[in-house]
Amino acid sequence: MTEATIALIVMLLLLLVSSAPIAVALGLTSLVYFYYFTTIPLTQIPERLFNSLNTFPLMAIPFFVLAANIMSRGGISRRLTDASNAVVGQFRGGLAMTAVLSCMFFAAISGSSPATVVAVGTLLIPAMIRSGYPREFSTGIIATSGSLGILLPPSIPLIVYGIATEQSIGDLFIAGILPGILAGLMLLVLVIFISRRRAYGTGEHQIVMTTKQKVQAFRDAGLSLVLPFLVLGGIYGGLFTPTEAAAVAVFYALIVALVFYREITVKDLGAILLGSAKTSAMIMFIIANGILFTFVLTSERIPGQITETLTGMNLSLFTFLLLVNLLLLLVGAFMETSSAILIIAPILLPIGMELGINPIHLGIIMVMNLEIGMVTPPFGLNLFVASGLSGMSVLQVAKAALPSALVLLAGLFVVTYVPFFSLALLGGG
Amino acid sequence: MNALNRGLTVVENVLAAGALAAAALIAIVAVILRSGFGVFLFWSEEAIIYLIIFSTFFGAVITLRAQEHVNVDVIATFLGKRGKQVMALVALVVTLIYLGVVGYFAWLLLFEPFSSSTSTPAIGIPLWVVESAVPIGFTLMFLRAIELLVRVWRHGVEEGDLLEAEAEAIGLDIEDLNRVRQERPEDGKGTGRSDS
Repeated sequence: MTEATIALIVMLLLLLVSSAPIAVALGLTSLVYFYYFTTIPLTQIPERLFNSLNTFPLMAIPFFVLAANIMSRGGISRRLTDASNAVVGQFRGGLAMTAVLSCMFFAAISGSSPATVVAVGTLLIPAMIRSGYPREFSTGIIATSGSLGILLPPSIPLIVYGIATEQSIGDLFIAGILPGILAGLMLLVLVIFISRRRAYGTGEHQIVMTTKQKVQAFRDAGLSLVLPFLVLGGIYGGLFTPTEAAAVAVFYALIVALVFYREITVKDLGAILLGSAKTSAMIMFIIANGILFTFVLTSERIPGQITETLTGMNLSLFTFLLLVNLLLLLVGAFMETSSAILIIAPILLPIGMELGINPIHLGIIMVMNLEIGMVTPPFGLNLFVASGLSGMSVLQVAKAALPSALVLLAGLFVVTYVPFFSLALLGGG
Repeated sequence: MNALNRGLTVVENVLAAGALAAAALIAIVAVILRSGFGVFLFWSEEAIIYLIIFSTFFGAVITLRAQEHVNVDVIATFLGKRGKQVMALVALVVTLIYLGVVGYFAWLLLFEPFSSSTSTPAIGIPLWVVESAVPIGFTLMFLRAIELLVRVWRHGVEEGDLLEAEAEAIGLDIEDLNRVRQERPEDGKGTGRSDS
């Protein structure tokens, strides 16, 4: 390793640990590199920041964030829980299954797993407790269930991966479907098993719906569940580019929220726009600095050096993937998903390619890992949100979420070593 | 000073949200025109990109103001009040160095001959106009970071509530959250209230 490489790594780690914003850590490390180790004029830094955002595919992110915010505020959480309840409510453990399904769908549409915990948790944790589920079980299952819905389209981490590694966003969206469904099914099996075994959900408040109510619930929720299909169908049918699909999603979300659900009015749009501008700016600012940092990484040939070292060690595919998972789980527990993808994907991709791993498959593995990091102590965001919501300590929530988190880990293991789940719908695997 | 602060806040909010709204509107109209009527708005992609770039750099100011830029706060969670304050000050100084240096060079970039002699390919406005998002955004962020530095120096770190921030983002009331926390298994029997 050269002096510059060591300086870069040490500097980035120090800045990250200093609790400076991740975007600043990436940008400042690049700045120091430009100044000490190259003769590139420093006006190149703002120019590169500007140019890294100057591409049309990236514009999908602000639009998807906006569409997601309109949907989340527009009242989808109640409609999704109603519809899920209409499907599985009458079974033993029905409310717990409702929780899993609602979380998956809400996470897919809102693209944020902490927001899912709050939205679905506020509705379902009280209902579950009243129906005879322990507080610990209810909180634990909601803390984990939101995380893997992020794999279902439209998924912002997958867009970020697509941009960081120049892979097709449409392909990544398709690849996320089966792993997302697999994780959901595994969680459903878990809650059915636990609920039956421990006789949960036998309280008198089990919610029974009439056929008329069920039809109404399906119609209402159906309107929001069309969104992922619209996005995916539009991109894959060749109708829209991902960015156009995101604009269509905004339009569709506006119609559903303002015309059909009517829980928000035009007056609320200002606040929604401001919130979306904030979230999108945070992600885009990290991306701008992340792309700058990727330039530094590649001009120092760091990904190449790491690839050479690792191929020199004759790692088997199995060991490599195991190491990748361990690394990502660790990083996911400390760092926000999109930032972690921007820093790690350019390093992992060349090694993966060398070992013959499909880049799309690697993307799915990365996002799954980082999302599981959301429910891993010490810093899993979902744990903190769930803890605030239920009044339990973070440690108690982590303990309560452990069984479902282990199930997600098992799902991750399957998806990692059986590329079929990521690639089948793409005609590979 | 307070009036200036409030005025600046309004300008930042309106510009970040307004640019996003304008970009979304253009994108929606462009898709409808293209797929429905076969009409291409040749300038739409470029306009969307520049509006979003403006929205990003102004939005980043708001995010900084609200201290919502994501970071890795491993160490701070183990520290006491005093330690947290020192950590926050270190992070703010680091941020100020970055914002100051890059902001300075962003202004220089604006006055380079290339920026004024080049026009954007589709719309044909001078490059410096669209590039100005970077220096203006960085300067505003720099000012906000100084404001934060002073506040943290004097009053220490304010503990933000993660849950309340998330709830606000999806439009939930604090009362709704408190109801969840107070829910007890035996409560339900009397009220028969159903939330779902």
